[in-house]
Amino acid sequence: MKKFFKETIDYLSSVRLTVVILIALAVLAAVGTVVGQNKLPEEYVMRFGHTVYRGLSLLSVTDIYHSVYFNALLMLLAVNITLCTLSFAPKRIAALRNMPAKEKSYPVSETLVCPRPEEEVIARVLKSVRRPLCRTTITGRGGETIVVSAVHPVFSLGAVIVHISILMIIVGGLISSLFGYSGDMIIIEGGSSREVFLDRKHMVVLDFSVELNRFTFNRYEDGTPREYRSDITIVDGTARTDASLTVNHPAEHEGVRFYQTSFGKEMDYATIEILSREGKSVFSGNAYWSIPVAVPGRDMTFTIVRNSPEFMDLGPAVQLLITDGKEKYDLWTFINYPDFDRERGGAFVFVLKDYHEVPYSGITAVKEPGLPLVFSGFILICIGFLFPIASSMGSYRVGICPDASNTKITVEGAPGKLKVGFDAVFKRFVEGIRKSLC
Amino acid sequence: MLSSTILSWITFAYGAAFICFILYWMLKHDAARTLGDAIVVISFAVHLVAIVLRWIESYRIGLGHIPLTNFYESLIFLSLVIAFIYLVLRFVFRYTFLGAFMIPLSLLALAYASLSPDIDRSIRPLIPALQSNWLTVHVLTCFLAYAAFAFSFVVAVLYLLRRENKGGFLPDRETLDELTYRGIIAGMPLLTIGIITGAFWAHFAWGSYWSWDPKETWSLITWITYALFLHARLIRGWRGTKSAIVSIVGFCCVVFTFLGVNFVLSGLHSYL
Repeated sequence: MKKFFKETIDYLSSVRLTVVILIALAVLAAVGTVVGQNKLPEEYVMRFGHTVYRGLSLLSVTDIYHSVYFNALLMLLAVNITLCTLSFAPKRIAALRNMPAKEKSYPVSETLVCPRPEEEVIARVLKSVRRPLCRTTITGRGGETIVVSAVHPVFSLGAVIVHISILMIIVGGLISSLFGYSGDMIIIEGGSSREVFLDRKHMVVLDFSVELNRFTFNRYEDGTPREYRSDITIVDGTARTDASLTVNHPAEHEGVRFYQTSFGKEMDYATIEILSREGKSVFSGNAYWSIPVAVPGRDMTFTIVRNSPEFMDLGPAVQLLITDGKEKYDLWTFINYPDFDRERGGAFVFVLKDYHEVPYSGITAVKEPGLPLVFSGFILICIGFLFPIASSMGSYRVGICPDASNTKITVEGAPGKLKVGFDAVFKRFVEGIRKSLC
Repeated sequence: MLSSTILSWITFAYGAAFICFILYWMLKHDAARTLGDAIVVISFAVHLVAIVLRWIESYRIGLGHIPLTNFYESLIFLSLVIAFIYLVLRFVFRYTFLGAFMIPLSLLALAYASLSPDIDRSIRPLIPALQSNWLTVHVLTCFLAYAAFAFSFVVAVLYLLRRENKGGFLPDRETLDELTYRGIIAGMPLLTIGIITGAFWAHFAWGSYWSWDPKETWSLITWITYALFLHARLIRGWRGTKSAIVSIVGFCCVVFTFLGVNFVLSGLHSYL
């Protein structure tokens, strides 16, 4: 049992597993881009046919990045990175405090002789070997003074930092997807809303409301869009805060960010006239979408259930649901064809007299509680990736000891991660010491 | 426009430099290389001036934005960045063999930009999503990364072609192998910063730092490929042929991220 447990942990922390997960993620991600994500079912059917679409949909390939298996792989990657980092990070962090215990081997060396006294040579060598990003240490052993210049051990932490950053990014994303949301608000000019529609079934109701004062759409002279702008007021209890939303400039309130995403025109109200069969006006009034209108003096209401600014190329139209006593029926009426409803042969003729539109703005509301963690991870990973640049530098060991009336200096060097061309670098290093001794 | 005219002439200059480098490769005559390098230095300077002219022009017509905002501008800039990296490798690191292999990449990008009939070369106003300060740093870091990976790709291919360490003007196989690695450790931080500046920008413009847009997704696939390269090399000790092949696969991902996504797939990142 214990053995099984250890083997499992070993496998979970192995680089072999990292490679398998990364390849799987890359392949799935690529498949997702080729298939296309979250499009209308009709588009997939057109491209792949019914059967293939059913299969793709069943395997969540049409929403692959939110599929169970894709996210399970991400979680597995997080576990793998955590265990793997735990296995190598402590050693590197411990190395920060004490110098490496084992002696390094230096493949190249050169010996210099200088007539100056030992103390002066030591001082001059110390000054000469000092390099940025490196740590210089000085020790004595059996009459020999040893100066070692090596890349500061802090730079061996690059990989640790990068791995921790990746974990922060994955965990932050997880927190946001569990406790956050992203959805759309549709607000007409002059109107207000607190409803955020996440998808067809789900909605979040904000603790405050957003009023749209004005939506403006500017174009350049050649017609290219220049600016989409919503001037909004956030009403939270008695506090009112004005903000303007433009692309690239979201607003934020109580941890919810608001983005300008779309715009359009929405029916505000429609003017409906009811005529008797003889053509005498019985009623005329304004109706709003989904709000029943009672016809005075009769046991009759009508409600606009659907509306379209351009219904089948016939111009503005509304669909009315009529309750007349116990009878219920629905009909379409068109602004451009006032006699259309007469053909129905009912007791009354419904005529659409006016179709009034107002601009609306589509505003995306986003709550991402994991964002600070993700952004810290972003900044940290950039820093972590710069560390290995230092580790490409070589390390040097300079031994100084008296030699008769002179001082003997032995310079040894070892390349860092980059080996090619080190001979020339070493020569320059030795030359630097030689010059400092003249 | 003056800048476009200059750039189409520069295309021929890079072509001439390329021919010089080919001659150097075949005849091993240093004079050909020196001439090629001289042409590249001059072309690079004029190329840079042309881009600055285009920038000034955009202010003159009242739009005022850095020329990094459409396909044409990204190609001419990528070409400039590759030429720049070549010059750094040539004059700072003193690699004399690269001309015949890196300059054609610069030439290809610029020739496509200057000669293709499908490319719009006019200066257009900025759509709202592009009106951001993140634009410059995002494009700059991504393109520097692309250029570093292009270098890694070139030396990886040369590694595979060079069967044995005998003669020729190419460095030995060990050097080529390590140069492949160097290209990637230079490109990886740049690509990381490029993706992350893009994520910060998307956070402000699109409402989400990551939306699995095809371009984003392919940049992540590229990043994963090079991450695999680093793990294989540093932990498994992969060297030589295997390492070179991963570098080549990585560069195919780069090309697909840069061009393929826009031609084959569709997404938010439609302006390159």
